Amino acid sequence: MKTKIHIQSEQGRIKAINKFCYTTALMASVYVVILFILGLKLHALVMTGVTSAFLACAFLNKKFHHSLSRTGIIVSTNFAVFYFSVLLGFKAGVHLFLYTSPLIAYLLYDFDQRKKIFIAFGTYLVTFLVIFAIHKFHLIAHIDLTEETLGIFYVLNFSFSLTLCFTLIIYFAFNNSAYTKMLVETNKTLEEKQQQLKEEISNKNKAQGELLKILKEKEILLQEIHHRVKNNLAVISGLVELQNFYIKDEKAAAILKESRNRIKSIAVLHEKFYETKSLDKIEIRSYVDELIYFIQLSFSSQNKEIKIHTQIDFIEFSLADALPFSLLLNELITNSYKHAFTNKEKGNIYISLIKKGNNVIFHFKDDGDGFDYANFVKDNSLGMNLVEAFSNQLKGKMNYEAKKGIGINYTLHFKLL
Amino acid sequence: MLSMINRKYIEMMGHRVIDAVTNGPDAIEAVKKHAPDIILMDLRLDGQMDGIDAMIEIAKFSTAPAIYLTGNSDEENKTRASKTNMLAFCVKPVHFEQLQQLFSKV
Repeated sequence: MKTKIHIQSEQGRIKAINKFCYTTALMASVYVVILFILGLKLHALVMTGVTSAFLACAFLNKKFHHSLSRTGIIVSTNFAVFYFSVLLGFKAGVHLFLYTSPLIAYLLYDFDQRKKIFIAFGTYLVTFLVIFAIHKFHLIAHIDLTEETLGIFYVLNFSFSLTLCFTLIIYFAFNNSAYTKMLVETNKTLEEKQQQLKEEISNKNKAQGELLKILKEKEILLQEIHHRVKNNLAVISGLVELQNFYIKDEKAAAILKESRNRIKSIAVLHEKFYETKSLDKIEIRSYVDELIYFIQLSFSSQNKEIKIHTQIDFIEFSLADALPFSLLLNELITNSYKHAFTNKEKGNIYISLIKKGNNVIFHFKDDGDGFDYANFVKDNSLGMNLVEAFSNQLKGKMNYEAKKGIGINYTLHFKLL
Repeated sequence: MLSMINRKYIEMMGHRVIDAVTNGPDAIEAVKKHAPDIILMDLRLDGQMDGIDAMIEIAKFSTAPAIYLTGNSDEENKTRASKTNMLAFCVKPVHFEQLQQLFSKV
């Protein structure tokens, strides 16, 4: 991909090549006049052709045929030097122009195009060797000119070639300086841009750092809220439990115990949210295990051997799902403890939570005494009403079966939020 | 507030709360003075010393086991506590039945 410097450098080069074409055309036209004066009309015409060729090369540049123009210059210069070296002889000094050939090659092509520079220089070298060979071995006869005329031609060729040489050297020196200046300016601009970018990156990093700090503070705050809610619920649960000790009526004490367990199930939930790193989801398995432990503890005075079997998949619940689920589970287990094993010393409760995509299948079953669900009046039971209410809150499809002597069978299909 | 509730639980079980302190050095002094049967030790205490550090010092002159109480189930501290004379490592709040079960072990 060409950079701005490359494009500007190329444009400068084209301008210089055009100036070279005009200069060489001007020099050639001097030779046209001299050849006409000497009566060498045919050769004057050839030189006119060379002059036109140089002008044509400048024209080709204007039409953006740069490659053709360069080739034209190499061919024209080689031809002119060769033709008039052979015509006038070695002593006329036409070959002196070939000493500027490396400069001409470097003028035509960028340093990156080394192959083309070598080819161009190579053509000039071959032309020089051929001219030298023709002169050395007298292969082609040149026209007869007086020593005086030859001397004039030599001085003219020497002067023109030297002028061309110095002009090209000055051009390269100036171009190098301009190029260096361009590079320095570009470098300065790049450095300024780099500094700007560094500042922007530093600002962005700072802003990101601030954001992370705020996020961390919010996480800590949320964690603290869960902790305090848990503690406050624990205090309420504890006070209810203490109140229970002062109640003589067994039924009232049992009701208070159920209330305490409901509060406890929410407290344990907030404790799990406090512990978890994500703060907005909990892994339900560990919560269920802990809830079961506390409910079993609260009913330990019954002295019955009731085993709770669990089969729980790895499922993450948000607070919105976990809260009604925790109360639902508490209700089902409590109901089983209260009513299912009245006439039994032993029993089993089966709890399963199976995940299928974003759907959950919750299954609760006990092998207790069961009851006649079909004729059961729900209005008399807060527990049953709560089971239905929490199932609805989970927006699940509930199926409740209970038969005397078989136990209860509850299933809920619901989608996680 | 929760310590008040725990105190009530202990009294309801028929036991006596000999002393209640808030920092490690006071806990060590209280155990030296009263020689309790069980120590209900909060993990977080006032001052530099935590409950486990206090129990390490207490173990030098007393065999009374500790029921550690903590705000969250910290595995690192649980491991530290298990190296002391630990009866249980409980997350607050403690159920009455839980305490009853633990006290019956001693």
